[in-house]
Amino acid sequence: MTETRDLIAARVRADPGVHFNELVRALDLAPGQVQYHLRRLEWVVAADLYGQTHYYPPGYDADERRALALLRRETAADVVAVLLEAGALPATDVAERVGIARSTLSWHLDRLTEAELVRDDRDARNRVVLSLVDPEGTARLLRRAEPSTPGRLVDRFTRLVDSLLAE
Amino acid sequence: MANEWVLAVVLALGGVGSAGIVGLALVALVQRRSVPYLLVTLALVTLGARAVVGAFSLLGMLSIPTHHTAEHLLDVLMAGLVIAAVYTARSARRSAAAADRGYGGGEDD
Repeated sequence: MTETRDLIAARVRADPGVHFNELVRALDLAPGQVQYHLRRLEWVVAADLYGQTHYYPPGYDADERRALALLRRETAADVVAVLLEAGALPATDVAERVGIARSTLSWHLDRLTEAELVRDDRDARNRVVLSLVDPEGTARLLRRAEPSTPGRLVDRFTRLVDSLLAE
Repeated sequence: MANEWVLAVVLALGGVGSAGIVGLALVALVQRRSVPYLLVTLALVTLGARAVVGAFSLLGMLSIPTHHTAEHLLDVLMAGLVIAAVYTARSARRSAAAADRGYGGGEDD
């Protein structure tokens, strides 16, 4: 009983931003069980982001919660990793380094710029140049973000479709 | 008939596989909400439909000629949907490039 609750608590602490289905699948529990214990765990913060309910341990503010939900997407994490390494980089170079179609990059960028993780500026030649708004803070969150297997599959599927349709 | 067993197993595998990939496509479609993704999803649905048609004819609910016609019709449909997906993706990209010159507009030396 409390053992199950401890398992759920440990998972939320280890994987901030974990979503409901993932808890059910990873811990091999009934959805009702997970729901019951989550309600009993008063320190767990729930947030509806991008069509899923994510669960967080305390200590993350609303911006950080949203950033974690985004960085759990493999491709978004790849984009951020390239920018951490390169600093500021033209968008076309970012797409090339990550190995994704421009349409894939632009879809992820919409969310990353909206969440104010990534800034897009124009250089003298009117190219879009990307950089991180807060490299240190984002790097810290990136280390905590762990994509789920279904999330990874969907991400790779969209990468494949975009690149097939692009050329 | 050993042959029928092999066919049943192949059909089951094809059905499960295409159901999985249609599931993936649907999640991607919900994320993207674009015409090309809708067409790609429908193209993958035709793959699943082939397994269904195969199962019907295995159960003797479809004659062999009908079965062949249905399968080839699904081929035509799939090819058409993929071509349409590529076509709409190109025109969507062109209008996006026009709206946002300098990013993805292909103007890089």
